[in-house]
Amino acid sequence: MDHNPKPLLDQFQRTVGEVVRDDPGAREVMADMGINHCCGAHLTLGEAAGAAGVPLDALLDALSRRRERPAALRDVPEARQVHLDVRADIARGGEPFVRIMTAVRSLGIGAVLVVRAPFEPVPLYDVLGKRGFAHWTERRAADDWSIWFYRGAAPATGNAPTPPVGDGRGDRSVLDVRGLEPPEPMVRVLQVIEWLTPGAELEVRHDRRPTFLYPQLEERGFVHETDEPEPGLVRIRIRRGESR
Amino acid sequence: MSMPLRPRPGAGPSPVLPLRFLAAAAAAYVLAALAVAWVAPELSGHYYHPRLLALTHLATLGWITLSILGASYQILPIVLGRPVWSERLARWQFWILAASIAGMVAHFHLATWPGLVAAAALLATGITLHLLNLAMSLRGFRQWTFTARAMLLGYAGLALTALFGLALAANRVRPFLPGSLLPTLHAHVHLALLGWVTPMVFGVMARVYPLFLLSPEPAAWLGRVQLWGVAVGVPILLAGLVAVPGLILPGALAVVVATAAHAGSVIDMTRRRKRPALDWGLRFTLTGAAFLLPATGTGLGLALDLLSGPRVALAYAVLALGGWISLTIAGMMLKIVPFLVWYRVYGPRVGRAPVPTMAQLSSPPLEALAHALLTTGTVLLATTVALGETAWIRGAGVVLALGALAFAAALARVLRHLIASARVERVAAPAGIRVP
Repeated sequence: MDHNPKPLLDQFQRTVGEVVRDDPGAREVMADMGINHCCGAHLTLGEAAGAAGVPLDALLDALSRRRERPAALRDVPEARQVHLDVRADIARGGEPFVRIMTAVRSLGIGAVLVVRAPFEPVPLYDVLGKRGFAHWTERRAADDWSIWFYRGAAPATGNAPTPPVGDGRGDRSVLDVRGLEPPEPMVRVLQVIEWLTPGAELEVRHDRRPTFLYPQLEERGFVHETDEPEPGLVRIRIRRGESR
Repeated sequence: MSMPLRPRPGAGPSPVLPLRFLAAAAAAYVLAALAVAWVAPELSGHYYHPRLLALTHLATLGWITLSILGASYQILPIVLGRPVWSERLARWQFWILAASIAGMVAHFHLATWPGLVAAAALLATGITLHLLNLAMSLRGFRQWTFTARAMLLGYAGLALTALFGLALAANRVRPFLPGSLLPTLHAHVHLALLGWVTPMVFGVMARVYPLFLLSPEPAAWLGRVQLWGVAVGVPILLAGLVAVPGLILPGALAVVVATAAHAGSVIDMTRRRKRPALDWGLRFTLTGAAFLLPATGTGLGLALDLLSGPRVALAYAVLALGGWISLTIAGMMLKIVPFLVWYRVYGPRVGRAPVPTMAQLSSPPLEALAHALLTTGTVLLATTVALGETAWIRGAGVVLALGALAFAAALARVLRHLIASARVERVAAPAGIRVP
């Protein structure tokens, strides 16, 4: 497998003292594994793991799980998590970048993107960082990583919707679902509208009239209007009905 | 242009309606594939045999026509943006069509012609109801895109094919049609294939491929060539078949040009797709499109008199109906059925609870098996009917039947989500629990 060893080496060379300084809670994790912070603070994690007879992988794994989830990611409901598993793509020799960027482009209001990959996709941090995304990495196993991408400044909790990057104006937010394979546009819209506050409006940009979406909107108490400002662009404006 | 539109509440399409048609069509496909091995002796001879006419109508009406009519109740809202005018009428139409097709197949098999006329009249009634429903759904429709025009052309072809078939059935009881039997029969077959099924496939695939391949829409001029090629070529070809043989070649050439334009648009969309990996539904439809080449080549060979005889004609029918049309429809079903089931079962839960993706409803290994068996079986059947060896035809029929069973099993795995959901609703409703 094409595995980038640099992050692993970096971790290996960090000392126990450095780890505890950055994350005081890690002391307890290491103590549970027989690594003593007081006497072994100068040891690298590799040396400390070797001295305690603990596999380095297990130690890194435990520390990774220990790393606190950022406040923006606490209590993010399932409905607002967009999961994208690219492990099979990479195993087949494919390039998942297009899929990831497509998912990023159509990420709904307040939604987070969770990419699952067989290695830590360090270059992606920079690419998405430039688009305003912060990340939190979860190492599940040596070849199983989950990276949560979220809009840095915007809290992912609470009721106030965060307009998608570049398109939001006041209480109107824009969700562009053009170019997505059915039923993904409907999924994105239904995920986002659950977090629409009364009075706020979601403008969906679609490449066709979403006939199958309308009954779902009406059943959930939303009102909508559709127009076609130009060929190939269908615009649906959605807001909560007055009764709700 | 700005056209505010607010669909009526509750005017959304019912996924159960098209599913009913599609499930019945898949059952007809399995029956037809199973019957191939059974009628292998007849398939090694002349195609004008009651059992082969029964098999042909089981495939063309039971499988192909029911599929297209059922899919149109889903496609109409998606590609034309119009809700179905009356789902109640459509439900009635389903039962009328199912009964009439069963009646026609049975009466062909038994060679009982008065019963055939009655079944054909019932079929014409069912088709009239469909066309009525369609006409009412499209009242005031203004966006006459290539797809809309092609579908309209196809429906005109369907109406004419049904009338022609009814006339042929009546002619068996009380002869009144001029001309010889076989040329008239050839005209009926080509009207169905080129006048009804072909424009529907051309039109619908022009919208469906971009949707699923994530590719740009095909160039407008390719659409115009397809429309004009069929609209002009088919009447000329039919006139050639029944009256003026000299018109067969120009008619056939016009249809070949239309077919080439369709193939060109499919190749273009496939090349320019953004979707990196193809699922089995798309592989089915693209394999079906690949059958256009041998099917068109054989048809042109027959038109040019380079090929002749009932065995070649049978091989031509297998390549066109079993290869191009059937594999295209099977591929579409592997896309449509999971969508409809997903929409019915999981659509209301999106945004409120975790739901599986549409791909998670499918079974790629079963679909791959069905693809391999059906493609191989179709090639084998076309080859063996051309050779006329009963044992080999039977062998090809067995491969085809196994493929159809694998295809049906793949669909059944998707449909079980619907069945499980219905079971939960039955339990929940009396207890006042709302699902989802």
